[in-house]
Amino acid sequence: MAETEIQATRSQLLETRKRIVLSKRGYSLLKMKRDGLMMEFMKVLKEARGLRGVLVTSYLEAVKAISVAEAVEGKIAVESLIYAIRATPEISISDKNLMGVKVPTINILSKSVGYQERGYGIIGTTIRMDLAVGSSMKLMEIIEKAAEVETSLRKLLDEIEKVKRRVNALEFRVIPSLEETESFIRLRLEEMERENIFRLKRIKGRIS
Amino acid sequence: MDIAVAGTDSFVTPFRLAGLKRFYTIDTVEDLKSLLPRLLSDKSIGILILYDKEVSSLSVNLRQKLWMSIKPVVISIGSEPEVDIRERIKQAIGVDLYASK
Repeated sequence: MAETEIQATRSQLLETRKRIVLSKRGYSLLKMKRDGLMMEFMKVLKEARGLRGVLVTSYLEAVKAISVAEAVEGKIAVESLIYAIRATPEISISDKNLMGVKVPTINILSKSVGYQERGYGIIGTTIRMDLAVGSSMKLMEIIEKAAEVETSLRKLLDEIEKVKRRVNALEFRVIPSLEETESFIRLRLEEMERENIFRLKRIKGRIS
Repeated sequence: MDIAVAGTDSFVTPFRLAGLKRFYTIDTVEDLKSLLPRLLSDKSIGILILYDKEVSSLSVNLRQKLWMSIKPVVISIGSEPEVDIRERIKQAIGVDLYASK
C-alpha cells in the first residue's frame, strides 16, 4: 500500500494490527499444512519409487512377448486370440482426502485368472501365445497400482507447490507490507501527537 | 468401471490381450487431442492408459488436466523412465527425492 493512500488514524492502526495477527495465524497454519502434506508425500513417494521402473520393464516384456508370438504364429493368430479372451479387468474408484487433497483409491474387482479361465483352449494355442497373454495381464496388474500411486503423487505435489507459494507470499510480501503500514501509522500518530502538544504549549504561552 | 486405452495399433495390443474391451486406435496426436475431451468426460472409464510420447506432445494445460483427473485416472506408459514427475518433484521440493533411496 502506498503511504499516500494510508489514513493515519487510530482505527486504521487497530485494523492493521488485526490483519497482522490474522496473517501470522494463517501463515503458521499453512506452514503446518505444508509439513503435513510433505509427510503424506513421503509416504506415497516410498511406494512410487521403483514402481515406474517395474511398469516400464513389464511393458517392454509384454511388447517383446507379443512380437515373438506375432513373428512365429502370425498376426492373425494373435488377433484371433484377442477375440477369444473373456477375462476383462474391472475396477472401482473412490476418493480419499489427504490434508484436503482428493486422491483416488482404485479397487480391483476382477481377480487374476489362470490358464484355464482365460477363454481360449490350451491345445489350439502355443506357449508363446500364453506368454504374451500372461505378460500382458501382469502389466495390467501393475498399471492398476501405478495409476493410483502416481496420480496421488502428482496431486500432492501440486498442492505442496500451491501451499508453498502462499506461505512465501505471506512471509515475504503480505506480513512485511502490513508491518510497514503499521509502523508508518504509528509514527505518524506519534508525530501528530507531538505537533498537538507543541501547538497547545504555543497557545498556552500566548494566553499567559 | 472400465479401463480404456488410446494409442497406436501396436500400443493397444498388449492391453487388448489382457482383456481390455475399450480401446481407441489413433494414428496422430491430433486424433488423440480430439478424442481426449470425450474420454475425460466419460464416467464409465476408471483408468485411461496413454502412450507417454504422445502425452508429452500435448499442450501443458491439457497435460495438467490429464494428471489432475481422478475419474478417470490417467496414466502414461512407454519405454522411457518417468521424467516429468521427477522434474515436478525437483521443482516443488527442491531436491530430487525420486532418485535417491
